Amino acid sequence: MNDNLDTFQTALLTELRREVIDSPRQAPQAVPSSAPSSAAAAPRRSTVRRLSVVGLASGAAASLAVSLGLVSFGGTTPAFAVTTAKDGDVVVTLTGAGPADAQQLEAALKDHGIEADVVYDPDRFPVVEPDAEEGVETRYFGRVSEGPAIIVRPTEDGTVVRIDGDKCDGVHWTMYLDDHGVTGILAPRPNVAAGHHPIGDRSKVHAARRN
Amino acid sequence: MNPNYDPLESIGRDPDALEAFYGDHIEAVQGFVARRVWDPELAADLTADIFLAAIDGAHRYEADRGPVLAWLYGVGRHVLAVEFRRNDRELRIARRIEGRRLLDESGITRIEEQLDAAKFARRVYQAIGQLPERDRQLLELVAVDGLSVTEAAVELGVKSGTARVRLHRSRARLAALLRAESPGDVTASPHQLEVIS
Repeated sequence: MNDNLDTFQTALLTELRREVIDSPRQAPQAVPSSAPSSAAAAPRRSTVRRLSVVGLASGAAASLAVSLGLVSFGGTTPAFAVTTAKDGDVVVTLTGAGPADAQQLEAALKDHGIEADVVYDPDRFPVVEPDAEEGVETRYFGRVSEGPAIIVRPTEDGTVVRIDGDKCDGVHWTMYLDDHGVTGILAPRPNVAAGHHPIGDRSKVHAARRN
Repeated sequence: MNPNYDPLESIGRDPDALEAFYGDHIEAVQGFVARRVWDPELAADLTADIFLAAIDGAHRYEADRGPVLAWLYGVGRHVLAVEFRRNDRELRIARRIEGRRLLDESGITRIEEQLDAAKFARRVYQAIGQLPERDRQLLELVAVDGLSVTEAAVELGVKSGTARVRLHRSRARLAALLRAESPGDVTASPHQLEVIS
């Protein structure tokens, strides 16, 4: 053991070595890049992040104009689909994500008139509630009176995001992904006092609704 | 990367690989924590949490995305974010190793020294909390943890040029915030003053 360590550092190293000996983590298995890498024998995660984002207001699924384009890349099974709904909203459905999906999704959004950065970052803290019940929405910026620009809601199979392109005009925002789906939307700080939706905080959203 | 823990996911299975990784990074992790919290016992808990999270998540590390240290800081930021969101009781239940139980008198003294040395960095960290969310992570990595702009950009998944523009704007805001808080205080290292000015 390293002789340069102090007493705390030595004691902690002893505990960590014991942890690895008692509960060795399994080696990950190779998986297709577009498949959720959670399938790769993820060793004991302290929290299971099952995220999905579906900004579909009830009944809105039926209004999707699917003919306007499911995205598919290079013959592989896409981890997401981008469609335009009849009301003009762009709807992203994710069943998982990998590093390659972020770039492809960013390009697909651009094709649908949405300018956004899409970043795959499995270590980023999820702003979207990681254990949110299915169907609970997280709303992102836009005036409360006019509705949010982006809505995110968990579903059983993945993540769906509904984006109002007009309300996103001129706003530089970023969508973060991990293996399971969307972990958050980063956008300019909202002005709740002026009636804007706050970012990624369901309790504040509810408070804003009551007001 | 140190060949003793290459690939990094070996630290989850091989105690000797873990020890080599730990030896290379314990000071950095303790410094990372000291720049963010004031309490020695909490610092000890968080240090243990970060290494456990690194062991759990080592299989996710991708060498082409940046150096191990930048990845480890990402793990640390995640651990701290969880710490700040959950209440004490939940955390005590969740903790597999309570770092504070490993502290003796000399350990506490050593951590207090680290906390004292990181006083200015904690001020910067606090001030960063007042900035818009999109600027926080970038500034935190550069001004608090000393990563280069390029390393921070890789860690955050943004283009280096974009990071430089954002950093330029947010540095000015941060410097103004610090000046407003205590205009006469210059107890900072040249490097710290350089990165925020």
